[in-house]
Amino acid sequence: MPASDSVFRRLYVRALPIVLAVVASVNLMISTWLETQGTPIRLHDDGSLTHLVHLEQRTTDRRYGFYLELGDVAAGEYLRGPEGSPIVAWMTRGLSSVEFQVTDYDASALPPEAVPRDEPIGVMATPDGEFPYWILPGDGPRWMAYHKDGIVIVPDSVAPMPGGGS
Amino acid sequence: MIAELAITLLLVSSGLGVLSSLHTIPAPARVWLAAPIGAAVYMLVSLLLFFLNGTLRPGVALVTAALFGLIGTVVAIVRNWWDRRSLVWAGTALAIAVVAVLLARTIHLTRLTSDSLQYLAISTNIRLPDAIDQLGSFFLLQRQIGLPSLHSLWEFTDRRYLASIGPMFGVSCVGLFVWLTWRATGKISPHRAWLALTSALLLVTSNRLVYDFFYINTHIEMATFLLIAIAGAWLALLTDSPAWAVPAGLALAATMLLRPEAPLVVAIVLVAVAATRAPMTIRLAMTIPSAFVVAVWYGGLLLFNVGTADTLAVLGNLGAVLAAALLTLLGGLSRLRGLVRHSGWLMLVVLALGLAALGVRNPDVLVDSFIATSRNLLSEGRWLITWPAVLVLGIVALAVHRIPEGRLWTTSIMGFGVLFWLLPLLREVAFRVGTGDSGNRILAHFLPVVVTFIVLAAVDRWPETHEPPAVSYSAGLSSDSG
Repeated sequence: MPASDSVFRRLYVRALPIVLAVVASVNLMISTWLETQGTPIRLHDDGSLTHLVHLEQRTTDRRYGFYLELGDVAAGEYLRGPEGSPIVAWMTRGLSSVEFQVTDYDASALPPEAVPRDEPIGVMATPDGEFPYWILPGDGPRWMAYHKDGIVIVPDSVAPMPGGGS
Repeated sequence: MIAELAITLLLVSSGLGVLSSLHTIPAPARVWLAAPIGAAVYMLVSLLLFFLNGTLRPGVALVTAALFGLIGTVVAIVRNWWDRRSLVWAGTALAIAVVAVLLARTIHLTRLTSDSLQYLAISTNIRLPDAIDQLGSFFLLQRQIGLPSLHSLWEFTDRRYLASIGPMFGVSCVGLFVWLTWRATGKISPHRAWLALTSALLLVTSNRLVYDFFYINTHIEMATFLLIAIAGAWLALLTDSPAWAVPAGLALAATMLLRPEAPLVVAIVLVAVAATRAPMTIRLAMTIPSAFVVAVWYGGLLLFNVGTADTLAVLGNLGAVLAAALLTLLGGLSRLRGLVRHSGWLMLVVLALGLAALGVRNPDVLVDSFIATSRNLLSEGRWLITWPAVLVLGIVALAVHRIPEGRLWTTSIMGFGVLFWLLPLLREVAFRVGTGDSGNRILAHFLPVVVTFIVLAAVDRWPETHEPPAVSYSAGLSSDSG
């Protein structure tokens, strides 16, 4: 090291590996690297992306939304959501000719107390066919779960979204 | 899976072929450059085909990109540059690609958000006969066609996205980082291994960067291309070899097909190059791909976009990149070189004045962005303690570094820093708190570059002079010695 090196620089050179190692170690200790998130992608037997792909946008108000199968039908006809569901208009832009859709958290993620007992609200079209669906009362962002008999829209107040999304 | 494997191998082979015609780039470096450069070639070909035909045929683009690789390979063979060692390293690159695809396809780590779906939507719609009209200039400008063109290759696979694109870029980014830091720190043993190891660990323990390996978005691609662009330009200068400027120029140009703010990033890097002592060959290699992309993409789009609200943004992007490219080329003229040498700090002053002016006009956006970014850096953005440490180390590194031609790094990094705060002011919407905020995600673009600079700043012994070429240093970084 040249004699003209400042103390500051010499300190930097010597300390840098230690500082980097400490930062990496702390990161390792406090991180899960990739947070668990239910099942982010479920593949159909036909290889398509998934029939329900989770859409979320974590902002200050933790906005969530979801799509159902859009196919060749106008998005609005197949887009369903509970009253006040925070589906935003821009999400549908450009997607009308594409098959996409939402989260498929495992049915096991549905807590027993959230299993609906009433009659279904209606029938929901998906690439796998038409399924009855329920919307559970509650507050907060809603997410979608599968039940052995159909699809359930679950508010966060009833059961938090598995993994919290990301 | 076999189809995705074949696609990835073709992209990597394209990159390997192009790079093999650039003999002075060491074979181990080509291993990590191959996938991104192959992807960049594919994206540029896709761009040209898209505007010639108004739609994209991914198969044609892939075959054309592979042909470029083939041409490069033939050139290397004719010149007797393909030796056994090069073959071994090329085999290593292909083996890494195979493993990455197998793991990406087997372990479902892909992450999607609404942004991902928009990219995938374009990857489908871009193949429609009237794709430009279908997508519209707003959508194209917002999402660009780089990532959708890559994912449009799903048409040959059994899925509607390619799970291996992000991981391939991630592996390439970290691999290139390790290669560069390992070689650059060769003069400061015994710290060498520690520095390369700990700095790489810092990157791979940064939650958001690793997340971006698997997130269908443009962030890991931007991070990788920016690292290639700046490190490549710097290595071209150090080794007096325009060969390094070729992948650097391609990578820089490719960023403009990924992000709407990328033209401003490109302009910053080009001005940083303009202010160096780079000869005209390096300047040409750095500017031609970017000038091509901005002319075809933004110029071409402009033709479909006159009279809309996007015109100003398009003209701004077009003007910024072309002006920076012109400045870079003018700096290669001996008469103007002295004048252009000052362009780096001048640009930083202009950016800072712009930030101040817009900040005064819209202080709420700046204050809200500052608060949100502070929270993101410290906790909400899930960067763990990476950015707090990197910011402190980066500031110290700026003060103590002795990197030859270091202004290329410092001007670029400081430019990115000011640009980061300009972005919310330009769009007039503040950054927000949370991992999904665009400001938080953009931080990933700059992390590998900043950490590389931090490591290089610790290197003690550089060649005393660079003219004539720095033999001792370039022997490590430009020869084929591994």
